[in-house]
Amino acid sequence: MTLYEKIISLYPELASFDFAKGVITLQNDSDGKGDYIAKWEHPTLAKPTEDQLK
Amino acid sequence: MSYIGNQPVYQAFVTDQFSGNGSTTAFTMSVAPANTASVLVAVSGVLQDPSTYSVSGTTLTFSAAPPSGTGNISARYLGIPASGVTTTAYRTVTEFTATAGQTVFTPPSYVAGFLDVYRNGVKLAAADFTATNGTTVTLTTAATAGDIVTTVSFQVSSVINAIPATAGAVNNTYLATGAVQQTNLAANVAGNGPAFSAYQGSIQTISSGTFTKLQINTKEYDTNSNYDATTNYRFTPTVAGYYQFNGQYDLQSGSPTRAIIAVYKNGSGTRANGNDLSVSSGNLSGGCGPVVSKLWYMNGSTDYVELWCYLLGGGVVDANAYFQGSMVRSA
Repeated sequence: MTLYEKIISLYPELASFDFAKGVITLQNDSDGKGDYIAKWEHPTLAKPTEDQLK
Repeated sequence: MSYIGNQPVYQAFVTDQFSGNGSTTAFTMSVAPANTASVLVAVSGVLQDPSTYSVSGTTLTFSAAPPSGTGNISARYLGIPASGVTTTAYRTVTEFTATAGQTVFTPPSYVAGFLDVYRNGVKLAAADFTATNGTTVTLTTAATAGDIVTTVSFQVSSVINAIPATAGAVNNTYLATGAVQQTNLAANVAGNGPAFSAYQGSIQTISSGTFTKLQINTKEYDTNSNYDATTNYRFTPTVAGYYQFNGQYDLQSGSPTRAIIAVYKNGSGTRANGNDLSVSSGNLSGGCGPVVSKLWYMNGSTDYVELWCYLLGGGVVDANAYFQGSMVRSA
C-alpha cells in the first residue's frame, strides 16, 4: 500500500481532496527513501503519525 | 651565402591570383594597395601598364576584360598601407609671457620628472622650479613682466605594455568589462552559456498522488558539466543568468486520472507546473505526455532545477522522458 493509499484509508474524506494544490503534498525525491509527507497544512485533519502510517 | 653583419630577413611579397573569363573586369584583392603604382599586375605573364587598371579599396578594375585562363592574372603588392596607426605627441611645448611677480604657470598636464622649464631661453635647474603635481609649475624666483617662460613636457609611454600585433593576442586582459556590445557581434553568433539535454533511460514507477522527481539519468549533452545524472538528477548552472527549461514524460502504463509535470527550483522551494491533464471519467491512456516550459533566473551557484511528475492513480513513466535547459540571457 502506498503512502497515498494509507492516508486515504485513514481519512476517507480525502479521497476527493486535491493533493496537487499544495495544502497536503506527498513527495518522493527518488533518493531511495520512498514517499513522504512534505507538507501537511490541512485545516481540520491532523497530520498522520508514523504509527498510523505503518 | 655569407654576410657581413646580421643575416638579412626576407619574405615574399603578398600576391593574389585571379582567373579571367573574357568578360569580368573587376576582381577583389586580399589587401587594399595605396594606388596602382603599389601593385604589379600581370596578365598571362605580361606585366600590365598601371594605366590599364585602377584600384579602389580592394577592387582591381581593368579597362578591358582579361582573357580566359585559370590563374592567368596575378597581382603582387609592393607595399600595403599601414592601418590602425595613431599619431601621438611625445613632446609638448608651451610658452607663457609672465606678468610681474608671477611664479605659477599652468602648462598642459605633465608627468612629474618629465618636464623642462626655460626662462628667456635659459634652461632652469631643478632647484629653480617645482613641478611635482602634474598641473602647475612654480618658479623659485618670481618672474619679471615680459619674461618668456617655456615648458617642455614629454609623454611617457611604455612599448612593452603595448598589445602585441600577434593573431589571438587580444584577450580579456585588454577588454574593459562590458566593452563588447551586441552590435560588435557578427551575424548569426549565439551565446555560449551552459546547455544540457538528458532523458530517462529506464522506466520509473510513480506512486499515486505523490510528486516524484524523475530520474533523468542519461545525458545527450551537458556543455558545462552542470547536470547531475547520477545522484540528484538536477541542473545546477555555474553561470548566472536566465535559463529556458523544457521537459516532458510519457505515460507507459497505469490508470491515472490526472497527470501533472512540473519543474522545481531549489527542491520544493518553487514549483512551476506544466500541463495538468485529467479526465472526469475513465483513465488517461498510455502515451499521454504532459510538457513543461519555464524561463527562470539562476544565480550561478546554488540554484538548481529538477523535473517532477504527479500521477493521481499511479503509473509508469516510460524511458523517453526528457529534460533540457539552456542559458538564453546573461545575468
